[in-house]
Amino acid sequence: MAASTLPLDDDDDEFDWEAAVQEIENACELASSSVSISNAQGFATPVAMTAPSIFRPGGGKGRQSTLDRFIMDSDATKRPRIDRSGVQAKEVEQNLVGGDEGISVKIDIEAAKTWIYPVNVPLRDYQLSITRIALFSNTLVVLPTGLGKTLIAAVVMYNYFRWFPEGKIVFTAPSRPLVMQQIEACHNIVGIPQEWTIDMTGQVNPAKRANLWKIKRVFFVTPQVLEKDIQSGKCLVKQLVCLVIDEAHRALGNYSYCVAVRELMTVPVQLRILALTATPGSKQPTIQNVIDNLHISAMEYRKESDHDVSPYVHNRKLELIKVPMSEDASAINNLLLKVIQPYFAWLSTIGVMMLSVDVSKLSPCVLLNLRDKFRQAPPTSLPPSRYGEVEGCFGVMITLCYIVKLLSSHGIKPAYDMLEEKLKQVSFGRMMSRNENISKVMHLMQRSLSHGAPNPKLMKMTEILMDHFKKNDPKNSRVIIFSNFRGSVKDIMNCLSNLGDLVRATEFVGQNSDKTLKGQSQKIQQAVLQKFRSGGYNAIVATSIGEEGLDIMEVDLVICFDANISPLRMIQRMGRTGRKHDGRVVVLACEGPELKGYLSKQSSGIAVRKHMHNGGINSFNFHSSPRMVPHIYKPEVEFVELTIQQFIPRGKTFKEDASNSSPLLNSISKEENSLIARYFGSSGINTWKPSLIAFPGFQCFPSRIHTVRHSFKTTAMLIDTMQNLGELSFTKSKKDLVIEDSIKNHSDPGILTKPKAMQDSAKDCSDDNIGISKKLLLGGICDVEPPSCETPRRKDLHGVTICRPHNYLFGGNFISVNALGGVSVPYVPSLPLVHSVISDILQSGSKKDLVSDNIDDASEIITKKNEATATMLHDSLCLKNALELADATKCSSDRINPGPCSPNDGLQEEYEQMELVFQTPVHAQCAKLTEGGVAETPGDSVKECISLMVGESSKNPSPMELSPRLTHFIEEGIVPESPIAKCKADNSFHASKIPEDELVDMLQKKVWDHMESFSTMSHNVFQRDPHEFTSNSTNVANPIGKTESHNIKETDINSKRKASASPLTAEQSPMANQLTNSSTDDRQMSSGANSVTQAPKYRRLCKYGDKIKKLSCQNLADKYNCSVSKDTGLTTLTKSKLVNCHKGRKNKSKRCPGNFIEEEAEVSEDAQVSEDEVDDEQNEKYEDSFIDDRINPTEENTQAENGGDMVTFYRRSLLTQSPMEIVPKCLVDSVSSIASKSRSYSSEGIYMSLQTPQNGLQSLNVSGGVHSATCHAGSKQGNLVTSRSEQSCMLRETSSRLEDRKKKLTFQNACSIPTESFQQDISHLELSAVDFTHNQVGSDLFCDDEFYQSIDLDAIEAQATELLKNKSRLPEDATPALSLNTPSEINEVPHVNQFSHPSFDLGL
Amino acid sequence: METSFDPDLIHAIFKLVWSSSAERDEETEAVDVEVGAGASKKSRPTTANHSALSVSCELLRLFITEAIERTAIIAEAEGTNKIEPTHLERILPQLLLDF
Repeated sequence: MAASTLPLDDDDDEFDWEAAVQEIENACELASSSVSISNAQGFATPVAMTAPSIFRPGGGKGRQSTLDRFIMDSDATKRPRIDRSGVQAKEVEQNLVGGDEGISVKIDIEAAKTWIYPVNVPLRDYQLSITRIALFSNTLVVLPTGLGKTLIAAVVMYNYFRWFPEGKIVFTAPSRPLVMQQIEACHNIVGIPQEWTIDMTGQVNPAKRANLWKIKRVFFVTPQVLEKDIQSGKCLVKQLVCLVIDEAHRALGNYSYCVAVRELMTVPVQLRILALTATPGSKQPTIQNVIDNLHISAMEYRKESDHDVSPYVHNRKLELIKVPMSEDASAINNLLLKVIQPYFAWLSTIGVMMLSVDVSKLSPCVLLNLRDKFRQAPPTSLPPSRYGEVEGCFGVMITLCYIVKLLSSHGIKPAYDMLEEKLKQVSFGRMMSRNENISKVMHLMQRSLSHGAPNPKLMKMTEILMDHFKKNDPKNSRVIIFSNFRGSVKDIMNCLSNLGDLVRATEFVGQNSDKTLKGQSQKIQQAVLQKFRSGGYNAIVATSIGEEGLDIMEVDLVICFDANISPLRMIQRMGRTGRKHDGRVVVLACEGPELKGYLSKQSSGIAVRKHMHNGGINSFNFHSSPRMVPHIYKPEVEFVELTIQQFIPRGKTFKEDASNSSPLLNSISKEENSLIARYFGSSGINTWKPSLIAFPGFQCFPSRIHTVRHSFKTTAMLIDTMQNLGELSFTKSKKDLVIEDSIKNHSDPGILTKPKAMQDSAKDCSDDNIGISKKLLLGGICDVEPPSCETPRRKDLHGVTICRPHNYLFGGNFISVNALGGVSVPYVPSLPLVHSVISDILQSGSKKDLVSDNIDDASEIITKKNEATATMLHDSLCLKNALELADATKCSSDRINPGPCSPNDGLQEEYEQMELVFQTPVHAQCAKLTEGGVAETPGDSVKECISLMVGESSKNPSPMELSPRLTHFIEEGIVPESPIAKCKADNSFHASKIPEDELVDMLQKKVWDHMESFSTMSHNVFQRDPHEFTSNSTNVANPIGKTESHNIKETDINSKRKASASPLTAEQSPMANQLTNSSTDDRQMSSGANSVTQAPKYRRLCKYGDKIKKLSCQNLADKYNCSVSKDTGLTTLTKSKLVNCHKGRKNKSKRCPGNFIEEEAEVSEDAQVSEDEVDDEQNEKYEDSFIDDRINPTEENTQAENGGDMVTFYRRSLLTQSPMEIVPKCLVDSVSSIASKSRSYSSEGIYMSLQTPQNGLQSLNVSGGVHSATCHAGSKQGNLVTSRSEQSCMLRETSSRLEDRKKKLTFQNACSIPTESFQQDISHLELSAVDFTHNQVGSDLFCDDEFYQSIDLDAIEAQATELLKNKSRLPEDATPALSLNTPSEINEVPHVNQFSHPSFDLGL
Repeated sequence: METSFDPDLIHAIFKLVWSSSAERDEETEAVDVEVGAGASKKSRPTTANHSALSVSCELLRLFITEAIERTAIIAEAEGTNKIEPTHLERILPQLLLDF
């Protein structure tokens, strides 16, 4: 309709204000009506206002009527238009049809053909018949309590709800608790959808009510609300079709019921009124009043004895218990009567009072009536000046009578309280204060109260209660005690509270502004009722508020504490029980006036019933009422089983209501709830909050995005800052690399230039020196590449075009190694070695196809090899091997990288790429070991990362170069992590728990080593080119300090994580480590270091030392593996490879030269070792040398830059990492031929041996706490480094230092080894390896006597200290199964320990 | 457009936050409570009209999907199919800055 009328308005040139107003007013209804119109249900006019005949201009008064008139006017003016438009043809029909009845709300014809009677509850004939009548005429239903009046009302409401799709239905009940009760009861009977129902009390503010009147259709309201809203026009009276009035006997005088109905009738509104009561009135006139006020046209009366009702009436036993008045009370009573007597007499004399009335029968009620009479018609004999006197007399008498009544029905205490209170009032006090009798009464009362004389009624009541609860279950039985007087409620409560657990009582009183006896708010009332229903209380002490309507089925005892009340109220009280079971009513009546009053009132109540027989037709005048359903429809009853949804009690506020009805809240599943509880527990204390600083490493590079791109804040501020903070070194490293390249170029111009060029081209960096030969070199490389066949995989990895150059470079480097073998001595040997090793392991023809071996191939081979080894070795061993192999692959990649990269700055990038490539194979291996499917994801991620990185690098040529590198580093870190996780998974399969951690640690270590080298590089760079990085930090010390702090932080974090001790966390942590490579290692190391309780200053050094130790351990483990492989015989190559890997690691880390030597020794010693192996070893050595080369430049740089003194810490770290390796590098560089290799090998070995002790010393110093010594060593080393050009000098110095620090080393070993938990696994490997190493050391020609001696000395000295460590190690070593630190084994170990110690030192 | 969050839910959450923040304000400003404009403004609850709500819903939807996607990337990089809180922690700083 809205749609139809609005355009009409537009058509009219004259704007029709009235119509507009009307439309606004009825916007909602119109909207809904338009829908209904579309339904073509028939009667289309929504608010089709009543026919013009109804419109009576003068009829209304007050705002409402004017408003109505207004609306009707508008409607009247509007109708012609509508008709004209022809849209509303049906409205005419409506008018025609409804004309005779004057129905104003459209009716649903289909629905009107039937009326529904629910059969969810057993059918009761009287209810059905009453309902049938009530549907078609205004009915007063008089049914005894508990017989289902509400059902009748609900059925009627439901049918009107059906018949009039837009009609409003109102249910009124006199109190809020009743409203709440009835809305639920109605819902449960007929199930009117809750979205249409609303309960409104005075607590809902008028504005909200106005809205609710519009949008809801069924209202449960208090009469006051109804009255107010009708008067204010909020209630859309025109749409009212049904009004149900509960407790209709209240419709007397100006009660809201009457006012509301009057207002409705003046509108007028056609609506059905249904009045419900059990007690229409105690007299015929009052009943007639009700009928008149409510426009009742029929009365349906049933009494309990009626044949159709009686079956449903529960037996209610009424007991009248006469309680004698106590002596004190009677005395007081007499005294009070004496007080009253004079006033009574005086009033009688002046003719106001009738003498016939006995003083003792005076009641406040009678006096009030008399006073009213006096006020209306004062006796003419009395001069007006004395009126006030009479009024005063009345007041006093009323008060006294009331007190007398209290005394008799409630006892002394309330009476005393009342009297005392009244005496404080001026008027009463003035007249009474001098009265002797009053003072006597007061005295008597006080004495009686001080005696504690119990009220006989209370005594009796407790007696009854106890009896009752003994007979009935206190949990299921409910008792209501009624008292008319609130003061006595308190007394009763006090009395009941002494009864103990049996009676859980509470009071139920109305609101009161009185401060001394504070009433209960409606909220509390609700709560009390709720608890009473649910059993929280089994007794309530109620005032009259509890008399009407409370439907509490379980109540089986009602005690009326006072009897002298109207029969209506007595019936209502009795109606509270006997609703479901038989009930019992006990009336406590005090002998005397109360008892008399009770008896007389009961008799009068019975008399009234006679009037109501036969529907009261004979006694009452009824009013005609409209038939709401047009006569043409004859609704037939239809019995339907209604499906009723669970009633959702409305919350205290609308807000809660909204939330309650929200489908979202209801649809939360258990799982979701548990999740919510997990992270957002109700306690609020343990709620999980994501940390923003947990992974600083991840903030150094942009995370992958989905659709939302990174903001400037992220890229420019956060990431850059994080990079500057954490990885300043990397940025510097680039330039350092360039510098290094130049340096290296000087040293090895031929070799270095190519890789440099390669890298530069890839980077698009503008390096003047290198730039010249870039393209040429690239071209050459490209040519070389095709044979190598690396392209496919790399392409896959690097989707970006920019990446290709890198790939090519990478491939080229690799290839160059292969193909250029002749050209560049170092490269050639390394690659072939790897391939050969792999191939040997496989024992297939592939091994000799060095040229054709791609990195991918190598990886594949490695994987195969791993598999083979896995089959060969024990499961656990296999796993370890696999891990080691992975490490080895990494190492090999590292080696390869150093080869090409070492000279050039581009090295790093390529190197990184290489690592990535290798790592992917590692992943593949792991995947194969575990599950093929898993492997793909990491690879993809790597690819993506690479591509991203490449893209970034390309985008940001010079400044952003750092970021790519960082990303590369990160990637490196990432890549290893994923395999680690897989490895862990694999390990998990195996019963052995240890390997997992070990593997992880090892991988991390490797990564860490790489990172360290990088960091060192970066440091060097920084030192070298301070001016370049001046912006970042001119002072070298600053960055170092930052890095150190960073490390420390990470260490802390690591330690924490370790505390958690969950391997998974360890896995995750590596990611963070990526930023600071050392961080991961640091964690583990730091934990160890922490246990040692080293000074914070030296943490870093300690970390390094720990790392070194770890490396050594790894090496040992590798050796062990090798030994195993030797035993098997098939996997000698693997051994060598492992050794190589170890070497690579060592070289990379620069820390584990000793291991290398050891490995070599092993190889040489083992008779089984084939020449190939030896070659491999040599190759490995070469590789090592390569690595050394790479490292050397950095060290050189650092040395040159540092000049020694600038950054002691930095130097220390560097020195610890690889002081001596520089020399070997130089050697390698110098020697390009194989022969030279051998020399370098020997020299390296020596150096290595020397270096190892040094490193160990340093680490020992650091860890041991000999700070001064460490510093000294550091400085010495630095000096040595500076003089590295002179190898001999270096060696001597180192040796001397080594000797000095032998002791320290031993200490370190002791400290470090135990600290590292993960080493345990390795430890057994180490033991085996130790033997080998020991032998090797003995056999090693290269090993310097000095070194060896020093080791021996150390071992001897350290034996005692090491014993402790050995305890942990040895058991593990002896038997992996027993690896759990069995003390018994410790004793056995010492022997081995001695050997192991030296070996260990070597390893260090 | 994809289905977004229920505006009612978002509104309820907003109101919860507003009310709690209002309470906090009251606590902090209880010292210098002044009658007048300030008081009335304080007593007036924060509101949001329908458009603002729907836009907020969309923003939240984007935020959460982005968070989940990014977290999923991290989780996949680790080879797990299950997103853990730590994954979220890794992307959270940048995510928060991006929005």
